[in-house]
Amino acid sequence: MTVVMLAVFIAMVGIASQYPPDARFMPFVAGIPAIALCLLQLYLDLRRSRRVREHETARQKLSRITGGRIDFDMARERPAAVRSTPHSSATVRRELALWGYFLGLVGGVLLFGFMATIPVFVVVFLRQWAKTSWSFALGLAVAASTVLYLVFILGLKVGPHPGFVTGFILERLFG
Amino acid sequence: MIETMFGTLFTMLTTPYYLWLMLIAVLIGIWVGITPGIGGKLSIALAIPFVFGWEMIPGAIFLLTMHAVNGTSGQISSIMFGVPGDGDDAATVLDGHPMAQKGEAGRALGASMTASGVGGIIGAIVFALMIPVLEPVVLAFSPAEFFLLALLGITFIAFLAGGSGIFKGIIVGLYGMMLGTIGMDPQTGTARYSGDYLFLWDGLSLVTAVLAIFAVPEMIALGVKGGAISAVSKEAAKYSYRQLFDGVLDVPRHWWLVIRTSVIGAVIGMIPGLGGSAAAWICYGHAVQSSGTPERFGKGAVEGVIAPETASNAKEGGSLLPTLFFGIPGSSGMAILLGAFLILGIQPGPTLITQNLELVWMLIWALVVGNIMAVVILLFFARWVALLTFVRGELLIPFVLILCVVGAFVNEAQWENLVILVVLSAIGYGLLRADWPRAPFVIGLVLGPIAEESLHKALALWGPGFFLRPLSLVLIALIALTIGWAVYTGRRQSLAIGTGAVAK
Repeated sequence: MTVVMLAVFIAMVGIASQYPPDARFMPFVAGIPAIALCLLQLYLDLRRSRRVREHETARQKLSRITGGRIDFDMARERPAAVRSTPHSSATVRRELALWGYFLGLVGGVLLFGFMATIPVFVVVFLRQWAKTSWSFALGLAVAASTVLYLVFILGLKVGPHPGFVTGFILERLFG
Repeated sequence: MIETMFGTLFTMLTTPYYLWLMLIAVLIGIWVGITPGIGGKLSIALAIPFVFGWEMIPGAIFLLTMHAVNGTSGQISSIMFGVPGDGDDAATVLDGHPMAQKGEAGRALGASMTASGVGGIIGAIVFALMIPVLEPVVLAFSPAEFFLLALLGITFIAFLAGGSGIFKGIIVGLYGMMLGTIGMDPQTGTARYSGDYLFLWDGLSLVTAVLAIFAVPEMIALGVKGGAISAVSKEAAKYSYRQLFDGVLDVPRHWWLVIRTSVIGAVIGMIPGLGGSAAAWICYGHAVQSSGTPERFGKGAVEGVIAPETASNAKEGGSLLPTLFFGIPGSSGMAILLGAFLILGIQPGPTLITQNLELVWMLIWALVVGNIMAVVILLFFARWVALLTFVRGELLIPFVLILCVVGAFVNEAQWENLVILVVLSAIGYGLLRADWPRAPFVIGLVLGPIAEESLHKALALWGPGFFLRPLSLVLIALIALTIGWAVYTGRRQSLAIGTGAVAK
């Protein structure tokens, strides 16, 4: 994360350097100290990971000496970075699946509009992810679409995004 | 001031529109407080699209009332099932759940709800009493100090990350500030970071940013870990109204403790950076220390329920003070609330006292009336409200995600905001997964433009030496002390870990 942040700040400060002095002043005021802090954080991260490596090496060495017969339970003394639970492959799969749903929702709204995407998304998510029954999923999909229509379209008078291909599809289907 | 004080109360109580809004806000706040997976911060972020375009006073009343009553219902799952909704409620578990296990769930609930309500009201009173004290201080602040206050706000919120995490917090805050510069520069008319994209010329949509950084990552995290606590028996939710009433009477029985912990909670709320849970835990400790029979605590002492509950609700009134008058939110929840206030057109700072005191009093009364409403509703319906705890978190995910997408779209009716939502959500989730604080981002984004304007004004008035003004020096010292203290405690923690290992 630190590296990502550092890259973002360097890019933004670099872009700002092309602006007139008054316009680049604030990006410099925020960006340059941020770059310095990112470098400091990077140093702290590297130092921490080195400690973790040293700790792991020491543990392995002890384990080798004792032939692995003694379990050195050093969990409580381990540095904070070691204690953090690693992300298992199952977790990553769930994360990717959820991101897929979210991107599907946004992509669906952009392509087909709110009114077509929302009921489909609710049904697919509830059936596939939450493993609910068809009737429950369909009922909630209808409820969500109705609330969306009543609150946003009738209540707040917001014209929902119609979708980029909805018009094209409707034209093809119905002329 | 007295006229404004009672005039606003009269207006609030005689305007059905305000009362309806508050009732809806209280019901949503109660629902959010008890439903697993949705916290107070998330509820404000999700409510922003709905209040967008509302008038200042009704919008602010709605959001504040909703935020203020979150904690009142959050304790139900703590007491009945031993599952705290958030950090604030964790202290209540210590004695609340043992009471429920002893068959005194009703008494514990009655005491905690009444204590929460009374704490919220006393917190609002402390806030009101502080206005005349703070007025000259706030009015003494100039653009130079407001620029430094923005930096101080980021530093304080970053401090919540704890120890050496303060650097991460400040980096995230500065990132928010950086993104706050996107759009047309008010000084030169240069389009910064927006190129030919017209939708960016007015700046990044705050609603989209808040939803992306908080709501979407929270939902993905909820989906990954799952969020139901339905393993607990529904039988635990049963109790008698006689017990409940007995619990209500426990609050006047311990009136001196209630007043002490409420005032302590409100004062802690005024100190940005201490965090919400601190008030509850400090007051729990105070209740134990001041008790003649401390051995009862942890086994079901009603004072152990009353003290943290009064404190955690009283702190809301206290934390509103730095949020409104200095633009420094006292907690991460207040940070998002501040962003929402800005969207409604409420500018934090001295103008609130000089030109908008009516709004300030409306907010104070909203805290008082909202808390009373929440207590009355919960005292009657808590047993059924408790059943909301059994809602599977997974079922909420699609609806919250839909709200996020709709919310990002409706405030400017531009599809491009959906793309921004995805990009910022990825950053928000990256921050959450890497355990970086996210609240400073909102502060940076919200206060960035104010800080830039103040900085330009300060430079025009006093030149580069503006930070040598006495008040500015005090603020710079506070920033340095906060960072220094965070680094010191971070080092001490890591040394303690090292020493522990050697001693072993």
